[in-house]
Amino acid sequence: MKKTLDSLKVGMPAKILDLTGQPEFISRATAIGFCPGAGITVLRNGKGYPLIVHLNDTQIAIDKAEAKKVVIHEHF
Amino acid sequence: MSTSECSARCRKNCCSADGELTPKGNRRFTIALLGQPNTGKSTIFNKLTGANQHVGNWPGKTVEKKEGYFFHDGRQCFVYDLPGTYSLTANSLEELIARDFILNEAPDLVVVVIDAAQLKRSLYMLAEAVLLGASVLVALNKMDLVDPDATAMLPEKIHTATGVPVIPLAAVDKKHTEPLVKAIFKAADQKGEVYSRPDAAGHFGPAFHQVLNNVNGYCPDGYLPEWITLKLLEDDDSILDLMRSRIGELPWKTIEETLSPLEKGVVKGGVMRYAWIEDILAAAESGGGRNAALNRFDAWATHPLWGNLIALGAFAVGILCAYLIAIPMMIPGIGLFFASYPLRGIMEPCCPIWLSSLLADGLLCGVAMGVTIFGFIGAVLFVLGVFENTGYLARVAYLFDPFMKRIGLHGKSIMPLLMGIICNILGVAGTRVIDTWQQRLATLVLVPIVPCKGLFMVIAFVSAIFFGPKALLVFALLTVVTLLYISLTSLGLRRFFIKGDRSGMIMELPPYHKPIWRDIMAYSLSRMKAFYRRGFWFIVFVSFVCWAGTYYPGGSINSSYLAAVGRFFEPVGALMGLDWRLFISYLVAFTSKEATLGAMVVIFGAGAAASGATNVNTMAMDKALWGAVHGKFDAFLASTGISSASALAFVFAVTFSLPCLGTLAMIYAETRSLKWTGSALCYYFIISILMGAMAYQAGLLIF
Repeated sequence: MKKTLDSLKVGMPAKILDLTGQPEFISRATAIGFCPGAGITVLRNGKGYPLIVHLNDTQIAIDKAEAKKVVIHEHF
Repeated sequence: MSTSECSARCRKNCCSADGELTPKGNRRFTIALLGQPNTGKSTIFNKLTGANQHVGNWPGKTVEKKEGYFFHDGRQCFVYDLPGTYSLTANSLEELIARDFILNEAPDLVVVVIDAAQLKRSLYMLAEAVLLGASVLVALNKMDLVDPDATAMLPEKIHTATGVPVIPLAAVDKKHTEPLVKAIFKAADQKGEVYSRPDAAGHFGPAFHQVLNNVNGYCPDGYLPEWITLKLLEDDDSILDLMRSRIGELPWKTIEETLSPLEKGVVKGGVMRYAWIEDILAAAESGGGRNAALNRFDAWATHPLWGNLIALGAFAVGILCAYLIAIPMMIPGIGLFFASYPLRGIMEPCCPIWLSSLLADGLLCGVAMGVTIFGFIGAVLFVLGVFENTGYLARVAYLFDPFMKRIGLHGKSIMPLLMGIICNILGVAGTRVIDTWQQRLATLVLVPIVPCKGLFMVIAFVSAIFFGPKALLVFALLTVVTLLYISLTSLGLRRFFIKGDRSGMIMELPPYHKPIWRDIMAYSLSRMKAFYRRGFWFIVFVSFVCWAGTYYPGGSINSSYLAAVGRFFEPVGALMGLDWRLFISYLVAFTSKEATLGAMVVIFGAGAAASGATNVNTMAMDKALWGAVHGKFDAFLASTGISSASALAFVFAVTFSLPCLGTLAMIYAETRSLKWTGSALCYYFIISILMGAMAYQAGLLIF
């Protein structure tokens, strides 16, 4: 079972492995910085709200459903 | 040669946009500003062009076109501020416009604005520009936000790694455009530089050259075959369509065969670009940027409980400030309203009544209404601009995303909808903070459903008189129906009419910074200009028509065309349980909700107080009428013989009635489309009649 972004706990650094889903999503996500190899840390992951992540010097809010499409690998 | 022949042949700007040949047929020197959101691109545009800028629309499109010019050493330079996007894919109108401009208009230089505090991400746009084959200058912005020691050599290192000229800038530099301007002309004069490009062949393997060979020779002028190939490998719809039509069926099949087994070209493309960026940054250090932690204010601002409370507080403060700023701006408009009385007084003795009424009520009041609304909007746009510029708006969008998602919208839409509660006109004006056209349109069209303060007044009065304690139940029912209505309309719109942009929120939370007043003013002014061109005159025109409808042919509202219309539609009114008097009152809600009560007084003939008020526009303001409304209104209403069921129907019909005149004008100003404005009008009109009818039937059962 692949680990996805929505399951990451706050403060745990991880690395992006892959992006799944529709091409439009992949395109939007890639452009804003979600890319295999990039380091990512979750800053906020609460119920009902989008995640807030730190990625490449940028803070990004990403919807939970979209975060499920970002495959990650924990422990940099 | 005529302009169209000329531009068809050489695709370059020999002739200016309005068709005049520039002296000696010289090319207009043109640059484009490209960059991701929040990089300070607009600030640079404003600094370069100052007052010499113009905001319009890209031909046939709904995306804003910002163009301007400046002079340097006698040379004129035209600047186009391209839409701020994160990349140049075919996924949004804004990106396509930016990319098509670079490819088709071939500006002399593309200035890519990079944020020194967020290098890795903003360099993505440099990758895009370089891949396109444009002639580039990097404006390394926000140098004042990074550690000067660590980044002293950064511009030089980026230049060495890529071959692209780099000019460091600080957004705060107030008037120092000299270095930038000099860099622009220098870079443009040094064309033909070779830049290092992301390694497409390396990342896509043999497929890259296979497709490249097949595509060579079919590419349009000015489009690099390598770029076209990359786009095909990345599944770019727009380029796929373009090349499919240019290449014959058979050769296209070969390309398709090479492309079909490939998957997720977009991901490979991303990896390729970031690898290139990594190489640049390995040679250079960044030393700046943000910690991987929520800043202290954000920890509160994005908190489910505290965040919402802070947002509520911010909203209240914002409205207060907007009113404070608006009042001085609204005074001229209100003054004009009151000037109509003395004007009529002066004219009546010597001119025919119809003329004095036409000038005072028909025209002057329409103009007064336009000016008042104009002032109000300016103030709200300014306050909204402060929220957006400082970065706080993104946090509000974050907090409301879960709620907005349920009705098919995104987080940012909450701002305009909340403003709609004060006044629908504001709500529509407020949609300008939304990034994409589809989201903006989807939100804009929903604003009329949000009840405004004028509406609260009307329903409060009528309900209190006709329903007594049951009024609370009626309010509850209205709230539920409003929420259902907005959800269904929104979901329906997104499903059938406004396609695209379906995915969930992926939004940057930009670092907070102090408001840049110049940028906020520039944007508010440009939006107000847009409103002036369309909205203002729309209000004046329709006000005039309303006046004519309530004046002719008899000189008073009861004998007017509007009354005739009311009587004519009596069967429709009967369905809703509204006699012709109530029906006209309901129609008057079109000019403004506040005017409805005044209209009722006049129509039901409350007596002397009604004498001068034949103009529905002044009804909202008429002191004497207010006296009637506040004083004897309840007794008067109770005596009119309106049944409770009819009152219920009236309340529902008015709550869900047409957008008021000001709102409609604003919708037209924002969408520039009679189609959308007219459709919204029809939709709301029909639904309100249905609502009234259903409420009447329900009322008959209940009362």
